[in-house]
Amino acid sequence: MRFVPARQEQRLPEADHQGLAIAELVNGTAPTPERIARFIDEHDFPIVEGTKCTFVFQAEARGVTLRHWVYGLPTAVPLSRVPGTDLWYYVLELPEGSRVEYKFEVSAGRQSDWIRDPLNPRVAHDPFGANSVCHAAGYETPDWIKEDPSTPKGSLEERVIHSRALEGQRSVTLYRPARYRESRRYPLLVVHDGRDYVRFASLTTVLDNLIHRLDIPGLIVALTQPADRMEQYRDSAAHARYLAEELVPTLEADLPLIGAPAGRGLMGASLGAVASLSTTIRYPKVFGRLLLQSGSFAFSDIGDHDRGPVYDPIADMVNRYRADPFPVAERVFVSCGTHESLIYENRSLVPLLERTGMDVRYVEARDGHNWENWRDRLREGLAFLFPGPQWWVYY
Amino acid sequence: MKSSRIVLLGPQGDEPTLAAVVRDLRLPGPVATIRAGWQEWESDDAALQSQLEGAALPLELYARAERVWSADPELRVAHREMQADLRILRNLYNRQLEPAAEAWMALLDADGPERLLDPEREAALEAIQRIDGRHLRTIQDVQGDFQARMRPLERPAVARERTEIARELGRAAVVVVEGGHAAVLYNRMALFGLPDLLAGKTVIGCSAGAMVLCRRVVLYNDAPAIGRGHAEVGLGGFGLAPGLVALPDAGRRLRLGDRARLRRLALRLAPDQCALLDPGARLDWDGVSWSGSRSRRVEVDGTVTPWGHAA
Repeated sequence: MRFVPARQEQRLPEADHQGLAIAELVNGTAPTPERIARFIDEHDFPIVEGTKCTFVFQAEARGVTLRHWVYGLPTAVPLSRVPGTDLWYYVLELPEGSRVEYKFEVSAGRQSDWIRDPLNPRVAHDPFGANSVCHAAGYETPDWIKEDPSTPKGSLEERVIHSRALEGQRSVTLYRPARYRESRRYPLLVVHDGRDYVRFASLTTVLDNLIHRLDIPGLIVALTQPADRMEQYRDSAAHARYLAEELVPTLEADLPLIGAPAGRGLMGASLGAVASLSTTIRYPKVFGRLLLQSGSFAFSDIGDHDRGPVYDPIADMVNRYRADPFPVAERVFVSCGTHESLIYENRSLVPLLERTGMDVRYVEARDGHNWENWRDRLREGLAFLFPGPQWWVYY
Repeated sequence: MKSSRIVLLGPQGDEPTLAAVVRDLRLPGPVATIRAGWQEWESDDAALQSQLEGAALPLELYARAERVWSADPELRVAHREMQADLRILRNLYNRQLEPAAEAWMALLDADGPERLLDPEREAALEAIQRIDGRHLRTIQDVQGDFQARMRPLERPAVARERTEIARELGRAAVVVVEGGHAAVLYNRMALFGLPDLLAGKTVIGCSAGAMVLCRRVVLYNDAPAIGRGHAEVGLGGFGLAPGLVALPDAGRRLRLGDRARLRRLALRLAPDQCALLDPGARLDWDGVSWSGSRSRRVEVDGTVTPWGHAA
């Protein structure tokens, strides 16, 4: 659906904005350019005051719209212009702990551009570019996602696997933990969209930190990247065969891996979560540990699902599994953002998984369908699947 | 067994104090070192060698145990089975501990007449202590059964290594037990019957090394990735350091500002004292009493005080 911006009104802050910085700035009259400059200088943007987040934009424009991806709210809301100025604002109420990615759509002349918030240095990247990020009250960036010079670093190695299932060469990046020893036996974690996890969810830094902090044991991680994501990730038998019959046996023949279901994990986000579940359904108990983030688990209770034909193979798979669920792993971690439309599908999946007797942990966050949401859940998810020796090791 | 002296130290990573302590002891000869807690990294002891200026005499308990497992597969299998049983027992213990700890916390926070609440709170505490005590006894029963069935010290592969260890220890008046994985450390020391070989030595325990010298190895982490972080009685220790529970790296692992939480820990582990061994901390046992330097303890009201001299 194409969004048609509402008429951009010149508006003073409303009664329920009383006490907010924007209301104090305006205070019934148009602030001078000097006051506006000072206001911008003195605040971080968006301004977070309790549950109210004030988005601010300054420029001459025909209209400015806040574009975000919070399911349940209008995804496009017009900012109001403070009368007599070039200052625009919008007050959005966000529950504690929320994290919201957004852009401004700025209309000037006949042109309309989506831009990041020039007043906000917080940016989150994804394969499509980058968004500005609003941290609502109570959201804290985890300390374990930051690179720490004192943390020993793992190493990366590129490998090529010849796949009969996928009829060609497939490259995989192997992560080995710091202080790697051939004499140890390591768990193996296979990651869908591995390079994206590294680029956009700081996966190698997270692994380095979690291993160093003993939240998880040293892991060998196979970072896979699909040649054709839409083909391979939508319940593809060839993809599942590649992982279970080619990649895992090849790595286990060559590396000091535990080589048992409890020592094998498979994970992914979005369609990558679908590919993970699909693989374990086709090869139950090859992977004893399963991590599913914001899975695109389309299904229908009656009639057709409403996500479009692209999701047909996924809905067929999920519907089949819903009709005849069985344990596909020993432990499953499922996470989803409450700002995602997929929250319904993910919530629906959890009791189904639990009914099979698998050990399931489900976590929701006030976040959207994005890589930093998936990053922020990695500590809990990985520590649930592969508990580290933190309780036992004292340096 | 009688040790002439026990010294407990905090972590040695950022602020190593071992060299100064060894100098302070004024005992001649090499210093025997136990680094089995570091597992495959046992032999990476350059920092320790440097601290001890080349006087370190590595006992290599982890490597010796690996040799024993290769030479005596029956013992290895039995040991693995014992460890598998202990993992199951830990899970069963935690299933009891968590609700008991939550119930106690709820009662401590409950409003109502103190004359009615206090006996209930005491009963809740006793329930946790009973669970702790029973878990410890069960662990010791499993370990005792392994010893009785397998008689490891009488098996050639173990006896051979133990003879060499005893010979090495004969040259050293001081033994350093370093940190790492507390259970691995304990198991390797127990496998070779180390406590009896330490008689008459001065034993310095650092971090996890300090923990295994106490009567109980208490595991703790106030900010775990999963769960509420209720401290666990993980193992029985060797009981060489009487009257306390060693809590190394406490400043990082415990929420020292949370007095209610610390109070619960101190009450639960009483009559043992909770000894906080942060970097630079030192506690000395002279056979009669403890004296401390830069170490602290948790009082039963949840306050943290410098050790001074323990009763």
